[in-house]
Amino acid sequence: MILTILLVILVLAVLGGILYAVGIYNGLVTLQENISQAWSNIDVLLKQRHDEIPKLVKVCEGYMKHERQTLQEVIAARQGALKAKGMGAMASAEAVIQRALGGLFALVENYPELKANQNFLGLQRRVTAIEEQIADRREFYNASVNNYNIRIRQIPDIFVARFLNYEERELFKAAEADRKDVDIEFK
Amino acid sequence: MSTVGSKNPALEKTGRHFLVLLVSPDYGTDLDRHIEKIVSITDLQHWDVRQKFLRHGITSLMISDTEDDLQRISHALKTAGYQSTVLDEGIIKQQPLPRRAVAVESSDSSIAFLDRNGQMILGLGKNSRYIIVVGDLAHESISLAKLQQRAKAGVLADGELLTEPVLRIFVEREETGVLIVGNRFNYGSMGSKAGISVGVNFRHMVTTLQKLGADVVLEDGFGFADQLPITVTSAEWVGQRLAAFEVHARVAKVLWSRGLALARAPAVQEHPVQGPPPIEQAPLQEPLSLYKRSTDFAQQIGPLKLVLPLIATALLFTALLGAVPILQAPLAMNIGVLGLLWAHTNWRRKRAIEDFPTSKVRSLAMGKVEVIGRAAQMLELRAPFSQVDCVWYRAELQRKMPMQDGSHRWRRVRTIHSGDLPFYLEDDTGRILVDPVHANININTRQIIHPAVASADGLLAAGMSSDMRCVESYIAVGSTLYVMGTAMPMRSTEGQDREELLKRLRRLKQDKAALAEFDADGNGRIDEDEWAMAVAATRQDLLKDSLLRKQVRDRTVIGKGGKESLFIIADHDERHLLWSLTLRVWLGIILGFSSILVGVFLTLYLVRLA
Repeated sequence: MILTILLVILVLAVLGGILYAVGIYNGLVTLQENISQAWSNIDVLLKQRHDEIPKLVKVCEGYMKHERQTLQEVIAARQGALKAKGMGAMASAEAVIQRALGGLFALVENYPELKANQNFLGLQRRVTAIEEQIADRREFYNASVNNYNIRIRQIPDIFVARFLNYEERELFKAAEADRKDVDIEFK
Repeated sequence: MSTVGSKNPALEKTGRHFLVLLVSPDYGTDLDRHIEKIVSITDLQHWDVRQKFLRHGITSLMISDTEDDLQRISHALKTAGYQSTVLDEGIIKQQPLPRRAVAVESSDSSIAFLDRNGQMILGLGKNSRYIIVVGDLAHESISLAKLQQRAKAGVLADGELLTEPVLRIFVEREETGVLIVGNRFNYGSMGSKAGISVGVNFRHMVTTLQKLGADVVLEDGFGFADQLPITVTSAEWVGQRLAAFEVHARVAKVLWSRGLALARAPAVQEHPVQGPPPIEQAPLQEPLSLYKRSTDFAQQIGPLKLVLPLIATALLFTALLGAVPILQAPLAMNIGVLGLLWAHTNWRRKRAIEDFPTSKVRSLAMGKVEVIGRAAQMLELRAPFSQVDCVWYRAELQRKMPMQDGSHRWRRVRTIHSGDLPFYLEDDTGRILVDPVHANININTRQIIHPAVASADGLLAAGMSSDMRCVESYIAVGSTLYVMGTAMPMRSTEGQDREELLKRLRRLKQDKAALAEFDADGNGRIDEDEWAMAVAATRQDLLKDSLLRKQVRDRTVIGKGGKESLFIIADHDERHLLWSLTLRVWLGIILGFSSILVGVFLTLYLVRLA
């Protein structure tokens, strides 16, 4: 009788183990989906920012005739971001855009007429709001990636992750050099 | 604001209002036509009705008078500012002293519903307001044979029962709110459980009401208009055989126009009027998988409540059958499986919370979200007993029951609930609307109030005596709020023009000439009902102005998503929530495995005996 009980316990344990593994697998899939979703949410905002930049440059062009280089830097940064592939490259390209825009907004201080232009003010507000949202969603994305990366290195998830060759995901983080503040030269 | 139905000057004086509503069965038609109709006859806003429909997945109106539809309607009414309650069978069951009325007696001053012994169950007297809602005939026609049997057996005393349209009538005293009553109860259960329901001759009933000077409004979806001695106010609708929604919307309109609805812009009153809270709503039933149903069921009732009766049954059988555990083995197995299912549900919930990062309100994306912040009111609400400003409350009235050993226990008498009023969640970056319909609300804040301690008006309103107490839970304004749900766009103006409304009302209060327009009885002062009319008219004007200025904006709301099963609202932080879920997981595992082992052991024992 004891043997039978042990056998039943063993069967139950095996069944429980299989179900648990399925649960872990589903959990990891959910985490991956969370990351994809979080990235999509950032991507939407990045595209919105990319769409706003040409409008912003166009408004500024009329007033900032002596700042052609700065404006070109902004356009170039946008082009670079559009071409960037891979999480690291994209993060760096976005950081470059942020720097370029920061430089542009700083230079606007020299142009009171532009500062008073309603179109410019509207665009500036919009771009700034988008940047704030990107920062929040980047934080959210990195938290999602972090959850996933921790989970696939923890026991017992590590066994399922290794079996399925799940690898760590990259954070949305720009290189240190790309995040340096821009030097503004006021004329 | 126009009123519906005939106005009886005598009635206006006495303040008696009777509303008889015949709920028509479902007839499908296109959504837009319905929305337009609803908007034209109510104070509901077009986009509000539309978005409610769409959010609940109603793209064409084939709504029947089922409880789900009533819940939706009720919610739409609430969102539009009406006080609305859906009464379901669960509530009916809670009614004390089940008695069935089998006769109706009328005099010059009242109508009495009598039971078989001639005792009055319910009296409709002067100076009270009642709403009478009459269900449809569909069920009665099905159970006609049953009715005939009952009539033969003398259970139904009304002699004309089978020669006239027989309707189920539900009578509920409800002085302050819109009452919508479902018609899914069968004749027998209504009679035996409600204690205030009656099978009665409809013509007799209506005639009596009219003799009393009652203002009777009938929605007749069955072609009985010719047979009934009353004015049918909606012949056009009858012709079109409209769905129940319109009927309910019309009720709201009637009640609103008579000042019976609670939506009286409480924010402009220095001391908000706290009417009796609505009776607790039953949770909505959604189509669920068998698996989800079982896990949800296990979770809802909790492991102990589930297991204790089963264990008690097992012990009883053991005592009766001796030591042979015939039933205990499968019983233990079942308990074990349920315990594990319960653990699994909580484990999934825990993982979902753990694995999902918190968003900021400012950058909230559509879809599944987790937000932490503080609770803020959209509509003024106060917990009825503790008088705490809150966004949600639930209060359980309990009565002290003496036990044989001299001790006592508290038995639930009634549960009241703030309903599904939306509220805001605020964090450092902004605020967002939360629509708590279908939410799993997890509240730690709890207060026990005894009549001797509290002297709130609410205690009297709830009929609380000295042997009763109230256990009240609430989400206080400013308290920590955790919400995991689905963010979705919402097109509405709810609360947007609140400031402007308050400004206009203040202006109106100072403008005596304008105020005089709302002095319906011409007595030179504005009473509560007249003020409600003034608020409604101001709100309408504001709405029109808003539309003209195109101030309607897209907004986001957190609610129950179509695909996401999780919608949690808690008044504590994530850590506490996870801790309680972890505890449940372990409880479920221990209970589940130990019960299964006991079951296996007992099975083997039986096999050995055999």
